[in-house]
Amino acid sequence: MEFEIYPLGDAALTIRWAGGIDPKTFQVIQEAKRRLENRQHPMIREITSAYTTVTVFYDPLAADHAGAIHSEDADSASSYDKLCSWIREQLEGLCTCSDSTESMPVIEIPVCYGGRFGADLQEVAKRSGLSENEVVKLHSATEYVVYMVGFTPGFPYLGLLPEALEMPRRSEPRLAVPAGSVAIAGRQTGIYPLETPGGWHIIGRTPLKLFHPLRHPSSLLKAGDHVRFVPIPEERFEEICRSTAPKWGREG
Amino acid sequence: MSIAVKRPGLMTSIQDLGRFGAREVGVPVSGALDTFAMRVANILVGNRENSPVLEMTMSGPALLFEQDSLIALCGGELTAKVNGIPVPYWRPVLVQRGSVLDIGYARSGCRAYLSVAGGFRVPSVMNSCSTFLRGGFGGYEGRALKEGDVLETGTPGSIAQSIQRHLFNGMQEHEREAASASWFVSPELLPAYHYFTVRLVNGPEADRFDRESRERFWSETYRVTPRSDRMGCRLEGTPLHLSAPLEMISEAVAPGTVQVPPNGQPIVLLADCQTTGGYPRIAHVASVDLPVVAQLKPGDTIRFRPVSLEEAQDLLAIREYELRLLAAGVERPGQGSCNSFLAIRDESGIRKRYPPMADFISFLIYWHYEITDCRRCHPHEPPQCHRPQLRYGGKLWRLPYRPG
Repeated sequence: MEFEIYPLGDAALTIRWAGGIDPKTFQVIQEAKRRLENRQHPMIREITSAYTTVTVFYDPLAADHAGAIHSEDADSASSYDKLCSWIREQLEGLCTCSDSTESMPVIEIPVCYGGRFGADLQEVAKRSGLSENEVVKLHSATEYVVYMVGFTPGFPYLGLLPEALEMPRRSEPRLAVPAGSVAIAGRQTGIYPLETPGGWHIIGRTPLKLFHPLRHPSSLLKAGDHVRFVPIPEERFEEICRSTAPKWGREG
Repeated sequence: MSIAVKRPGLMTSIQDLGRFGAREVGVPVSGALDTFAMRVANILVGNRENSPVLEMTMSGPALLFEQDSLIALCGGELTAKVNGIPVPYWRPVLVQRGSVLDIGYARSGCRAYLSVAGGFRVPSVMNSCSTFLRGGFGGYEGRALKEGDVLETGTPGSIAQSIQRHLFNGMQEHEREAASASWFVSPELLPAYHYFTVRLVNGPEADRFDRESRERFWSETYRVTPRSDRMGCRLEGTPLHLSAPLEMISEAVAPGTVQVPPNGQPIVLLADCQTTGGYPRIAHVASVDLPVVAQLKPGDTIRFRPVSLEEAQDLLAIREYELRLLAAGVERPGQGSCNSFLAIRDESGIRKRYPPMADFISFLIYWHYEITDCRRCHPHEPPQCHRPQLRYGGKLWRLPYRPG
């Protein structure tokens, strides 16, 4: 698949694949990221991925001993150019390989839909012309992929939401969306790990801690994970809440 | 060993060089905004450069030292006094037990950094001691300092002990509270804090702006708005326009990214910024000039100047090299020519120059660098293009030519 590389400042570069938000492109991106991570380069500090991009953070001053000591010519290329050609080499022959079809484990996220936990469920149902039950069924029957984690620590951008539930963001964002809120906007659904402002439609809440800085791994979900929502009643929600880790900072 | 917070100041937090490796799960880098001042503050008291320091913003704290401590203040100049006596910036200072260091308002710049020999001791969260204020973790209980907090400090290293001994022995009778070193960081080493011109490389969406906006961006004088914080420096000027509407899919942004939201007013992202964004990015601040942005306060004005990616990386290499010179000079104060390096000046006011080439070479070899000049790599060029070059990071860097 076609990609382009461009600098993000003097210490990072982004590799962008043609195509929009779709599972195929995303699989290629995950595969590319894995390859770059596995093959390591002395300049690379950190690699992140988003919907159509992989971003490589590098140290332009890090010693590239292999190149520097043996050849005088290596000096003429900038560290950006050197890294670009290394990346192009690594990504040669990249495709959605056969092993990617092996079934990924699905992470189940319990959600208590509607009521005091899903302030916008009623409105979502009204706007999509479905009953509240149908919205819940549709939302929880779909298997989602985590395209990206961002906005706040541990916030997963999940897709793709069934077309029937597609709707623009709220015209007026809320100043405080409670931690654990499960919300939808566009063709995406997400979970707010911390109490933050937010403009998505809140349809439920999960008792799980999406992010905890002292836990390992700190984020429950990472890009590439497969996720399904499981509806739970309020009693079960309280039960899980009681059994989870203590709170930290401004969470919930 | 501890320091008591008598008054917290406007926004004082513990920061190191940042939290790396967790951007993938949405955790910002955080860390000191002015990494130059922060690193120099640590070098001056013999700490590792990544040791936690206090970042103080606009108006500083009052701190009671419960033991003799070697400290350094660097960065934007907030007035500083120990028991009423002014404390100089950019040099080691010995503060006596029981003294109060009172940091006041910013005379120039916005953020000052206080290091203490041994470093501030706070638990490391996700591989960093930096405070991530919005997330409420890292640093001192995940928050800015409050009155009554007690900051623990580590044990000073051998460099700190030798500087401290020297200062203590030289202390005059009337200097019961504090003594500062007679040497300091050469002003030539400091970033152009007062120049208010920041060098930028092109951003990925630079060509999506209309021609007029692009030209205006490089000539406009922008004003920093009061809505600026550790997430971003928000600027105000004539709005910038895209040549056509642009629907962007979110992707990575980083400290230094200059993004332009729909209102057309650029924002320079800083250390606490989100890890991803969906606004067009017109430019990116050269890493070497991020400390200058960190020192802008609301009302300040700023202009931009374009540089190539290569030039930005060259400038960064020179900055690193100068920091190494400084560190070496501080580490070996007694040994011959080290103090005469450009990095350090003393109060005699004599301008110190780069040392003779022979010293240079032996020194750099010690640091695993290799100095050479144009004649070696460009044997056919006339000798007058004689600019020293530095082999560092697998590349030859041209150093600025400073007439001897």
